[in-house]
Formats: sequence, structure tokens, C-alpha cells
Amino acid sequence: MPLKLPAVLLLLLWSIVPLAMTLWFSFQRYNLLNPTEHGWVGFENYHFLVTDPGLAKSIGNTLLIVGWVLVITVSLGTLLAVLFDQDFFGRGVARVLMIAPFFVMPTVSALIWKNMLMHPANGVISFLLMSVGLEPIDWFSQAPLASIIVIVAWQWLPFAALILLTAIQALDPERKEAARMDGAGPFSMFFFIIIPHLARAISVVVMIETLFLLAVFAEIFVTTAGGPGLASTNLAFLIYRYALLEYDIGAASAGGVVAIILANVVAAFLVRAIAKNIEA
Amino acid sequence: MNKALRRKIIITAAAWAVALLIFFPIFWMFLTGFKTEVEAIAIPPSLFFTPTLENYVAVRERADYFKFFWNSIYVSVGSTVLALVIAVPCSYAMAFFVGKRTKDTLVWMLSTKALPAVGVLVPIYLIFRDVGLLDVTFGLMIVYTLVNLPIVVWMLFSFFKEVPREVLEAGRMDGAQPKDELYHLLLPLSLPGIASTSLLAIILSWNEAFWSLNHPGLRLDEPAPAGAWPHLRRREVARRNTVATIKLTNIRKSFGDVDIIKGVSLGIDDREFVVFVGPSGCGKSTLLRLIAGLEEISDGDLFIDGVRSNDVPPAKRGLAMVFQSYALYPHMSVADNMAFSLRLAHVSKEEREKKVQEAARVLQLEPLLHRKPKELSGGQRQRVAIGRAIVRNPKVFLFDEPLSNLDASLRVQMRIELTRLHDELQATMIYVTHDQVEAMTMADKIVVLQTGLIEQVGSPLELYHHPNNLFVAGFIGSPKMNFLRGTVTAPKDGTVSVRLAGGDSMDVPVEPGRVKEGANVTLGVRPEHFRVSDRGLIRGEVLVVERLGGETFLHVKATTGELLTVQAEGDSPVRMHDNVGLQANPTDCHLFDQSGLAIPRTTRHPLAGEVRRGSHSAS
Repeated sequence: MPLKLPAVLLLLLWSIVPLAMTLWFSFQRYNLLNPTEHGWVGFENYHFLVTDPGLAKSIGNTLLIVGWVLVITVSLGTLLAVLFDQDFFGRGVARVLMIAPFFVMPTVSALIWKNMLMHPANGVISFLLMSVGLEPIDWFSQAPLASIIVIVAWQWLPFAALILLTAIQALDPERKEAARMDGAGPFSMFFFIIIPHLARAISVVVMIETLFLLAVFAEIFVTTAGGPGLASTNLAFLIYRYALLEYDIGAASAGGVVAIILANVVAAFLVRAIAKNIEA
Repeated sequence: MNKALRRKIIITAAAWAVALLIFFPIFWMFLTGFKTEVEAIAIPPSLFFTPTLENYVAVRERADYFKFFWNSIYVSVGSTVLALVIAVPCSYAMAFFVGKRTKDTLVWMLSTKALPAVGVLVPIYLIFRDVGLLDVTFGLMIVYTLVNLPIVVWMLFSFFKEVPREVLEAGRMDGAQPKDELYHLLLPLSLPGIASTSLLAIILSWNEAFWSLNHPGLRLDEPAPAGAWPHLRRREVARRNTVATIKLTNIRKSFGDVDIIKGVSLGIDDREFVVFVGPSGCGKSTLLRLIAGLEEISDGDLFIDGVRSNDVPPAKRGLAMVFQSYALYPHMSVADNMAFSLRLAHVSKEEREKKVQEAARVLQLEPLLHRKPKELSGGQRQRVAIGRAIVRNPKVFLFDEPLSNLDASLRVQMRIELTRLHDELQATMIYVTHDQVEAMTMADKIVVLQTGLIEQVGSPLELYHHPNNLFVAGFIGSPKMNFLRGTVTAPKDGTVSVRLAGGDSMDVPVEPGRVKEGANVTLGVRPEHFRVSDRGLIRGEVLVVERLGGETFLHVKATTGELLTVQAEGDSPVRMHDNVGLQANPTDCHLFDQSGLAIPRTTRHPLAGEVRRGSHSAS
């Protein structure tokens, strides 16, 4: 127990104290622009939040980002892991290139995509579309959420592929050989040997990614700033807007409480699924 | 072009196409870095241009760029080190001292990660402002440490779990306290895992934008806290007593509802070579681990040298164990492997070297002392594992199926070496195997186990000539004893007449006591006690002839339907499908009653009480 104490205690402080304070503030009138006006307001902040059309929209956007990025990264990541596990020329270098996006800060990668690739005028994608005779697309105003999903998925794909590749390498070669002796072709190998072996690693990827994807922030901040309108505002960005653009601590706290509830609902499902895989 | 090469080329093309596609945005950024401001926004984007360094010059001239750069490094590396210092003991405790709430703790830690930053941003902002950590880099470092802590704990936990348990158990037998286990075994062994955890934590902090956007910190003068590492506690070295006896009284072990050992009582004498043998799942390894102290005894008493030792920790029992997988420490040389327990016991360097040299001489390992385990063959690894036991000068050596990973010829050789070693070291040894040949060849005393109970204890020849029951009779001896159904016709004093199902009768010299006329019995005849003759007790057809040169095994289907194995001379003329008669000497036959218990023979075999040891044997 003494060995666990520091970590447990710190995390307890880190999670419980601010949580309690957030809960407290969410029932207070508290605006940094107007600090004298201070006091208990009951559920007024929540009422403000629920009647704000942005809330439902931003929750929907949050879930869309999490869901789509997970689908893209896990499915492509598995295929990539199998591909890069094969023996081919220049494997080491190709692997490094494949993993590279993970080492790029979200702010920087958002800038690359915004200014160099998806820019309607001088972006590479527009150039390619025009060179085959299509109209260029202004990604961030015509498909803002999809653009953000693409950027985030590009960032997290290497992470998924890397974890899954490590897991594939840990697969006992004797088991694969036995399967080959049993007559398994590439497809049976993939579905009956590799995928079941990866189940645990996939659950790890899903869980870690979900926790981060629920709070995607920098990519939105840099590219669309939540717009146009609320088209690409997720919960994290909504609260950021309340707290730091409108200085309304009370409303921001109420939004924070909603974010916590959402995260816990998602996490409860995940944790139950993952807990089976942790042999404690 | 052959098929394999063509496949490799196709895969190369596919993988490189994918890799380049994924890498393209970064490549494009790199390229754009060398363009002038005008070229960078040219329509269409230009691929061919005169590269310029003006952007890099501009960055270099901005002093704050490097300040921010160093801030990033300072914060991400610093927070990772902090998180590791806090997380390592925690993960270690959770991975190896599993309690009821371990899983809950782990899940709870993860769930704090699900607490979205935006949900707690405001309070943390206010707390840090009031504590004065808001505008210092150190404050940001603390935030990142806490943000990453659950993931670090969790990853370390998974990596610690991967370390083979036998290696840690070997460490515990060598006297490693939890702290030694952590510093000398677990951390070196999970170094790759720790490295990848650190890398992930550094990257996550490096990439983190939310907290730094809302928490600008620029000061660099905060001191880093130093971890206080506890000192190793001194310990006594276990002394070799002159006598080493072990006594088990009514030992039981259950895992949950399942009883593995159901009450075993056994005495082991000084310098005895005892072999636990039985089919897999009989509990023999569990029994050994109970003696070693690696498992807790559920009920009953264990006495080592007359002292009740149920609660003595494994390293203090004065035992040494050789594991089935050898459990060598993969990151240490042969010499270090052998000296590890002595190092933990604070034995001086000279003494350590002397003992290692001595053990290496006995085991002929001298030329290999500086190699790593992975550079050794199976037999050599086996000898290192034994050497690790020898240097501790234990009261008792425990072997858990040590030869089962070796090939057949090496197994025979190691069998001889172990017997010689037992003679040379004059130590008490307990040896677990499922191979009855190993048991017969090495043991002074064999303990036959089945489903958690002792079936019989005795010298090899006692078990061979006087098995207690059908199970022991069938288990000891190779090939297996033949069993024939029969009925008692005349129980007399000194002999019992048995009529076999085939119709012939035989007078077996056993004490009649328990059997009455008409009782169903089983007659046991070992293959080597059958003789092929024309007018036999049993007749049958030879199905298969196995010629080994020195001897011939005949597999005979008796007229009564039973399949019998017969050992005949090497030059026996019998051929497949011959019809043969089989004869046996009544004094070589065994008789078992209906419940499978042996009916005692009237005369004991002269060698049944014999122990193998000669001049060295204990007085």
C-alpha cells in the first residue's frame, strides 16, 4: 500500500478537488468581467446551457469526431500493422515515415493541413482536383467537421498502427506456423489468428484514443475556431468559448459538468469492455 | 523471378506507397520551409523552385523561438521523469501484490483520465493562480505529470505483467526482497517497456496544446525535485545445516474451491534424493512449490529441520530451486546469474567469485562464465540454473521438471550428471517429474501422486516389485504392466488359485487374507515376465512386432480380447500374425482385488528395501 499511496493520493487530489470546485461553480453566478456580482443561482447556469442550441450540436459533434476517428484509425491501423509487419525492402525507413505524423504537434499539423493541403486556392488537394477538371473545395467552410476528422485521424493513425504492429510482432511465430500447417491462407490467418490476437491491443487503442479524442481542441482552435457557426464546435471548444471568450465561469463550469458526465458515460462502456482484458 | 521475390517486391511497392502518402503532409511542410513567401502561396503549388533559407534565418533571429523550444523540452521531459518516479512503485505494487481492489484502483485511475480537461480547467486555473504556479514552467510540468500519470501507471503495469513470473520467483528463492526484485530484476527486464512508456509520455506532453494555451509559463529557474531512493536492508545469509530433513503432515492446498493437494503426509530424510512422480495435474509441482514457499499452505504443517516453516518466506527456508524454464535472468551473464543471490545477501566480492568458480568447476561451466543466457545451449542453461542453486549452498535442492525442455539424448546425459552431483554435494534433493524413467533411475525414494493424494512411497524396486495398487503398478515400469481378468478358485494359505477368463488357471503366491472364492481379481504381469512358449497360460495373435535389436516387443491380442505387451529376446523368431502362447512365472505375477488394491505377495523381493547410495550414505 505505501508504494501505491503517492500515485493514488495525487490522482485523488487532481481529480476530486477540481471536480468538486467545478460542481460548486456551476451553481454560482461568477463572471470574471463582473466579479462583484457573485452568489448562488441554483440551476440557472444549467438552464442557460440546456437552452443554448450549441450544447446538443456540440455533443453530437464530439461523438461524431470520436466515432469516425476510431473507425478510421483502427481499421486502417490494423491493415497498416499487417502490411508493415511483412518483410520488404527498406522496412525500417518506411516504418519511420509511417509513424512520423504522431510526432507532429496538433497545432502544427492543423496548420499544415489548413494552409498547405486543404487551402482552396493554393492547397495541394485543390491543385489535384483542378488538374482532373473538378471544382476545388473550400474544405473548412463546406465540410468543416469532416476536415477536422481527417486531420485528427491522420494524427492518430500512426499511434494505432504502432501499437497494433507491436502486438503482431509479439505473436508467437510457432502459432502462425502451426496455422500454416493447418492450411490457413493469408485471409484465414488474418481473421482467425491475427485479429483475435490483436483483440487486447485494439481495446487498448480504442480506450486511449477515446480519452484523447473526447477533448480534441487544438485542431479546432487552429483551423475553424468552431465554425462556421457551430458546425465544428465540440464540447471542449464550447466550454472554452464560455470560459475564456465570454469569461462566464459559471456557465463554463456547468458545461464542464456536462462534459464530465458525457466522458464518464463513454468511459463506463469502454472500461467495462477493457476491464475484462486486464488480468489484475 | 521466383515467387517469394515477386511477393516481396509487391509488398515493398504497396508499403512504400502507403508510407509516402502518410508522410506527404510533413514532406510538404518541409518543402514549403524552403520557399519564399511568394512561392509558398503560388497557384498552382510549385514543385520546382529555387530553395531559400530565408525562413530559417528569420526563425533564428527570433530569440523567443528557442526559449519556447527549450520550454517544451523541459516540460515534457521533466513531467515524464516525475510521472515515472511516482508510477513505478505503484505499478509494481499492483502487478505483483494483487489485492481485492487492484483492478478497481486501476480502472479508477483510468477514469480520471476521462475527466475532460475542460471540465476542471477553471478550478485548476484558480488553484494554480492562488498557489503562485500559474506563470511558471514548473507549474505546467506538474499539470502534465498529473495528466499523464494514469497512462504511465497503466502502461508500466502491463509491461511488468509481461515479465516471466518464474524469473521473479527464482529471484525470491535467491532472497530478493520486493525492493531488490524491483531494482535488479523488474526494471532491467522491462527497460524496453519503460522506454516506450517514457517516449509516449514525452510525446503526449510535447503535443499537448490545451494546457499550455491556457497556462502560459516562461520561467526556467524552478528546481527539479530529487527522488529519495531507499537503501537496501542488510540480511543474514542462510547457513547450511549439517542435517536437512523435511516433514509434511496432512498438507492441503486449495485454489478457490478446487482442492489440489488433499492431505499429504511425508517424511524426507537427510541427503535423500526424492522424486515426486505422477501424471500431469496430480499436484506434484504444487507440492514442490508449497515446500519452496512459493504457494501458501492452506492447511497442515511443514517442518524443515524440525522447525515449523509454513510462514517462513521462501528465501529464508534454506532451499534452492531449479525451474523448468530455468528462469535465468536474461540480462545478466552466467557468472552474475549464479552470484545474484550472494550479492543480495551482501557476500563480499572475493567470496562470491570463489563460490561461482567452485560451482562452475563442478558443472564444467568455466569457459562460459561471461556469456549471456541467450548464447547458451539448452543443456548449458540447465547447468547454469543448477549452478545458481549450488552457490547458495542450500539445505535442500528443489527441481521442477528440469529436464523436460531438453532433447532425449541430453536428458539421459543430464540424468547421469544430476545423480553424480547428488553424490558429490551430499545434499537433500526433491525432484518433480512426470517421467517414470527419470524417477526410477535417480530416486532413492519415489513418491507416486495422483489427484492430490499419495498413492505409494518407496524405493524404485519396492514400487516395481510391490506396487500397492493398480495405478502404481501401471505407472511404474515401461512398457506398462499387463492386466488380465480372472476369478479366485481356491484361496489357500500361501497361494491363491486364479482362473483366467481364457480358462487356464495359475497359483499365485500371495497372502489370501482378503479374497474369497469366486471373487473377481486382476492378474498383473509385466511384459518382461512373459515368455513365449507353445503351451501357454494365454494364447493370442501377434499384431505388431517391434524389434529394438537387444529386445523385441510383441503386441499380442489374446483370445479373450485383451491387448498384451510382451518383451521377448532380440532374436526371437516370432513374426506378425503368428499364433503364440504366453507363459509367466507365478512368483513374478501380481494380484489385485476388485477395488484395485494389491494383495500382498508372500515373499518380499530381496532388493526392494535397497537404497542406491553406497559408501557415502549417511550414518
